[in-house]
Amino acid sequence: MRYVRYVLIELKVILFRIPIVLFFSIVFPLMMMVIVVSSTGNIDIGNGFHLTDKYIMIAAGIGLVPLGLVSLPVSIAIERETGVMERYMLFGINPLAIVWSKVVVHVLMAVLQFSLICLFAKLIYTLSIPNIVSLLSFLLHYILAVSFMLLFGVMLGLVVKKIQAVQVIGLALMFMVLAMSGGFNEFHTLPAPIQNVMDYFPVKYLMNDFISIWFNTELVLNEFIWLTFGYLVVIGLIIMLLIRHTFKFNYQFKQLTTKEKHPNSKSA
Amino acid sequence: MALIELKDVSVTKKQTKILDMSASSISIEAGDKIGIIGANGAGKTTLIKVILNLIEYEGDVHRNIQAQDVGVQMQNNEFSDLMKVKEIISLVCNCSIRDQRIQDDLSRFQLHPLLNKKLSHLSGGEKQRLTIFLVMFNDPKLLIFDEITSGLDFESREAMIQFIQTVTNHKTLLIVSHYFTEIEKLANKILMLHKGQILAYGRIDDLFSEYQIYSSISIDKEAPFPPSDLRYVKTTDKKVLITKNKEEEERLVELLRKQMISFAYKPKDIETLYTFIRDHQPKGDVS
Repeated sequence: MRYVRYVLIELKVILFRIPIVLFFSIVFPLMMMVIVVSSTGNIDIGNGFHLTDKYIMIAAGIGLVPLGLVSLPVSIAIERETGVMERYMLFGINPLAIVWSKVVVHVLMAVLQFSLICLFAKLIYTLSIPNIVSLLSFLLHYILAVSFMLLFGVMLGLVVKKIQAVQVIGLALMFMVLAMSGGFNEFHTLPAPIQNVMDYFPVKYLMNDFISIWFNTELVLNEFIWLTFGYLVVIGLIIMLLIRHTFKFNYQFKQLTTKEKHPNSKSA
Repeated sequence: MALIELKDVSVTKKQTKILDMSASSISIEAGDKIGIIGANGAGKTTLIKVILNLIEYEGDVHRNIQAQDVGVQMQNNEFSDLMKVKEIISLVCNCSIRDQRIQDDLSRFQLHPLLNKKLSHLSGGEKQRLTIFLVMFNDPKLLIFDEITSGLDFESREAMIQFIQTVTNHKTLLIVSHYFTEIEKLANKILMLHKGQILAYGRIDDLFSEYQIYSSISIDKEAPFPPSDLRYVKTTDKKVLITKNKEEEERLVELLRKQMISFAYKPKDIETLYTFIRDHQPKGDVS
């Protein structure tokens, strides 16, 4: 129950008390959609689909990347650097559970921002909604992409402790990923080497290939699924190692009783 | 059975011993209220970290206590600044703010007016009061307060000490402080540390008796006071003469008056005891 409380509190904090996160993850994708669709018109792209149908994928990526590369790692780094995690531990709150609660909050944020994009596109433009099977398949693929992006964010927040360093690295990566995944211009217009490199990055699939699920032309993106699962395993292992090191204090404090002692301490 | 026992404990950092309690043992019994004093770098916080198993050490520490029975409050208690007071309370206490257990304590800790404030908007004293509330909520057996009044103004400090007195009545307390008056009001035992070593450990009254400290009389360092067999310590601008008993005190006061040397009188206090022991005691052996 404690961590459900934390998720609700943190969600409220991010949505209503950190304007920059709200802007980048909710407002910015909507704003980009309005700008792009208004500037070119909601043109017909064939088979009864319009630009909005394609652009919601890009908007989803534009909203997800800052969540994973800036908001989540910065949120972890702030609480590590300022000692909030140690304070939680001394109150009997598990800092690891706090990290995973932050991940849950960001998953909710990602789902919320995509839902808002769809709602906005449906109300203002002419968004087509796929059949239920394709929609479910899309959502599963989307959750996989979100999981990758957020686990990457956790890893970044655990590797780099300094808040300012996380901010700079996160923002640099964010703009790079967005530019190279077709966030600012058409992916197929990018140089071939960049396209080849980005074939190994799951967010590229979200912004460019998920559309085939939405358009009911493909149900499963095998390449994306295997690639992302592979990343999740590798990043998961790295996170496990980092957690053991980063939250060493937590394991030590829990071993307070007389039979246990600090793992590296020696008896007289 | 002692709550915590430390024997031959030492901590080495970058090949330097920052805490060296070799050949010493300390036993913390239930109900003890121990003031830990010493200058900066004396090893006070390091000792606390050893007790909490948060630092590598050599030696033996026996803890007959579980992590959940320990309440710790540090000088800086960082929370997420964007949270509100009521939110951190419901998170740490793991129940609704409307829960009766919380409501009862909120009044006692005078926290009702702060509930809707963001943590970043609290003053130092308010933040410490909130932290004590959170620390005390689960009724821990052992309380550890590390320099919790540092940075507070005089009035806030006095209020905080009074507050701690009322809420820690039947607890075991370890309190680290630079303020001797604080220790006098809150502790019944003291542990003196100096450059990582133990100077003295025991009940305050016992230490006054052991070191025969009855009162202290300060005179100007340059005052023309003739050499005597009186014990004294020197501070930056004063010479503090230490008396053993009432008779010695009266003789000294009479002498100073006769020679028209101005002086300041203080009954026995921890500052004098600490200064005297620091300047006269061979370090280490307090077991």
